[in-house]
Amino acid sequence: MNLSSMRTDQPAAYKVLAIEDDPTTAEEIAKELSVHGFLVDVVGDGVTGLDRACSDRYDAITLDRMLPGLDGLSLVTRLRASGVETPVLMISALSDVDERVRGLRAGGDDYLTKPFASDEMMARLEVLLRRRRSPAQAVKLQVEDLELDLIARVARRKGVVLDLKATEFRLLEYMMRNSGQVLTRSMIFEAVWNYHFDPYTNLIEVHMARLRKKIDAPELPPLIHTVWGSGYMLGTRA
Amino acid sequence: MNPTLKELWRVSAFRLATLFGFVFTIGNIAVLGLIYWQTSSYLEHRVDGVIVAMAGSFHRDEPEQVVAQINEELNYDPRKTNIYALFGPDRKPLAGNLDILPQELPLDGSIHNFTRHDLSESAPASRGGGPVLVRAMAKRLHGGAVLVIGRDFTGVAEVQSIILQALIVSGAVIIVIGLLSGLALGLGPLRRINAIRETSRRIMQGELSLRMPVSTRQDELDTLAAIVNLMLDESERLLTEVKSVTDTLAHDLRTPLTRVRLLLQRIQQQFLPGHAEYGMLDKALTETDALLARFRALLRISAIESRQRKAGFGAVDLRTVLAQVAELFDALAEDKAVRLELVCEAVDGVHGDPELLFEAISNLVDNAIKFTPAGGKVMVRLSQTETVPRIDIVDTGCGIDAGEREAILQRFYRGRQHQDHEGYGLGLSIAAAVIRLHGYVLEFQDVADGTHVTVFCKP
Repeated sequence: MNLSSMRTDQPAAYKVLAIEDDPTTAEEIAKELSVHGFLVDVVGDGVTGLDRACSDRYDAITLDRMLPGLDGLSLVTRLRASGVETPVLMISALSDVDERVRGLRAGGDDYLTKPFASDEMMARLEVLLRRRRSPAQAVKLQVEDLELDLIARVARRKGVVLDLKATEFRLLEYMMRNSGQVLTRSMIFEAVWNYHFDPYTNLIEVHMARLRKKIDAPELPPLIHTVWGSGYMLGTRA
Repeated sequence: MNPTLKELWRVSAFRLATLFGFVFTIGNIAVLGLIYWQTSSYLEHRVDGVIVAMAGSFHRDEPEQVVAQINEELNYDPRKTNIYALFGPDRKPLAGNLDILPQELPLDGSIHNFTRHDLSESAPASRGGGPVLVRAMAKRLHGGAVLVIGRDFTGVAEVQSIILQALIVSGAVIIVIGLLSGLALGLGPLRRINAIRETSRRIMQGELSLRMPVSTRQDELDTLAAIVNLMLDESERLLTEVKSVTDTLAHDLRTPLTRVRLLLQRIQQQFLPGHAEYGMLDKALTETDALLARFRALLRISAIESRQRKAGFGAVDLRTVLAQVAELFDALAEDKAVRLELVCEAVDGVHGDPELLFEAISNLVDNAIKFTPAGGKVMVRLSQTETVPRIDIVDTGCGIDAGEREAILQRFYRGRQHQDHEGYGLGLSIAAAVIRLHGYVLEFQDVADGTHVTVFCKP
């Protein structure tokens, strides 16, 4: 499946600001984003980065934590202080959980550890962009003929109630909130289980297989798709 | 910290002071003993001279004359320290101030000691009663009568008791002074040794930047501490170097590997599933993922091991952690047809990092499930020992050889018989690192079948 093909219906291309001082990484980010039809501005230092982020309108920002001029943490703090709410994906070589917490506390919306796979970055950025547009306070989620009642905690497909365990419900909720988007295993693990270490075995696959068995009955068109190599997506195939 | 007597005894200064106390006491005994010996022989000598002079005035042999002389002499002895007595050949007292002729006094004309038990009225009793030491000579006169001439010798006993008292008092004073000075000398080093011990403990817990306290005195303890500090500098430098090499290597290799993985993915996109190339690329991707996971795990262990502060530490409810682990793994267990069972008792709360503990227990449970064949069982049990909570993870898998149990906690180790299983062998190392960070204890129980791992959550 090609991700860019899904976005032909979008009115205008997203504009992303990449603040990254390492040229190789910057190039990688820019390439991946333009492949998906995004407009990218690359800035190499913190001061210019803050300037641009405050003056121009961007849909999202990728931000390196260690930058010349002004480091990523201070940058995002100042950005938030001046009232700019653009989603920020922090990218850092510091992988410790403490560092992640600091990054998110300073105002980052998500945290990605270097080195990263560019599709992982893309998937995370897509979720950030989507999150800004979708109402957070929904009481009912619907994707095709799949319904999730968040208050009654009931899931139905074609009106038939599905018997889900608590974990499966949380997993489905996360996938429905981000339907049509690629969700990587680590994104799922972070969002559903709220843990940030590496699940070494095929844990997520097994959970996904179980959920899939309940949702995608053999006679129905499948809703959960495996995306080559990297993760999963809920929705109908484009 | 209050030093115990046992701790104090280990301090050399204290031991030396106490030892000197005893040595001085022994010397004191020797000196006072010599004085006693000298004094008593001097007194003896003087008394003997007096007795010989007293005996010299008796040159008549007739009993009547002797009796008269005895009475006369006794009259001239107001202090009643002298003994004059005459006994008949049948040992009957004829005159003088001795009622019985003592058995232990040989009639050989030389001077001997004996103890008087009789105390007649005229006895030279300097004390109220009891035995009295006497020095006397006895000689047989012509006609069989026995003349005893002697002198009270209690002076020696008095000297003895004076010296004994001096000995006890001075000994006690010396020992008390020795102990007190030992205490004074010992407390200082003990306090410093305790400071060194505390520092070492913290260094062992990972605070590698700490150094032994060095005072300005520059004594032997400071010299030693300085040497240890040099050694610590060097080990810290080496450790940091090794760690940074490992980290850089793991980190630097990950970057190109991540790009290789992405390239493989892009190439795979060009083929449809079912193509021979698609399958091969799938395998290449799996191998790349395995490599990446191994590097990530290495960096993770390194991150856990080098954690100096315990930032994420707080009160942890082990039941919640275990319930989450069980929830995460029940799908995997089900998929492998392994029964995963969780048994929780009420336990004390512990202090720790819930996320790290979750990771550690997850790795242990993951391993248990991985090495348990279909149809087997993995049990996670939380219980309370007398002092601490314990977590048991018991499986019915292939087990670990007793000799391999220690090695398996090292990085990169994998049991030889497990070659056919997937897994990176680093899960246990991560668990071990987390458990070490918490100061908990990880033990393999000796069981015939399967594996039984226990974590003792020391508070």
